[in-house]
Amino acid sequence: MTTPTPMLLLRASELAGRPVVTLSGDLVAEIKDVVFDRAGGRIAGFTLRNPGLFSRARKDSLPWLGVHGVGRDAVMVPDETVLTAASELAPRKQARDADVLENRVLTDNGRDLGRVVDVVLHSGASLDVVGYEVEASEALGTAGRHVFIPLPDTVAVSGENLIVPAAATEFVSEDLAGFGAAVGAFRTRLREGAS
Amino acid sequence: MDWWGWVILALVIIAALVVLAVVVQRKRRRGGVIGLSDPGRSDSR
Repeated sequence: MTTPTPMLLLRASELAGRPVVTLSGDLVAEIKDVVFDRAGGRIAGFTLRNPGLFSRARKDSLPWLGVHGVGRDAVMVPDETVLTAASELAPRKQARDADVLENRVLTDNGRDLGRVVDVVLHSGASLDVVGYEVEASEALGTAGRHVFIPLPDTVAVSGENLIVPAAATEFVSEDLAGFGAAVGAFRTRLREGAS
Repeated sequence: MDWWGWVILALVIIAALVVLAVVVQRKRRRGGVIGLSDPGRSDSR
């Protein structure tokens, strides 16, 4: 019997404001938004802003392929040449309409689980979206409290509502520390159900 | 309204603008999580 490897999880909001630094030590920008591929649930890259309190959004972005590493205090890149035009990663109009924060989470049998306050990422070879942190609705029995809802391997994001399988309600976690195990158990359940 | 009235009115307007700027800036700095169906179309992945 193998011991499952613990998942290294972080909230997407923890990345906002994190400095982007080259391997030669130059501060290039700060992370503004996290952009993910909703079909694969993988992080596609980051939009950027200039450092400073009243800084503006930048016209370039950082695709995931250009990331050398995501550390606790900075996102490292080899050099500035990895940056691409922001419109290539996330056209401004699409980006404005596709922010999942504040969206409602519904199960596929129509229960409203709450409002998204953050997105949980798994840090490994890639950064994957594994769950939502929501302000729970009455349906979860913990109304108003923040809980974590696991997601299947494929994330369904469309319009203003985020749809999750009804079975996700059985794997809701109240703390991030235990959420990795809940995600693993939920995905195993889905795979067993599919086979 | 005497000149003290105008000074107080100006201070109130300035304070309101500062509060508005801070609120807008905090919201902007919070960042977002953007789910796109085809992000980075120029990306070779």
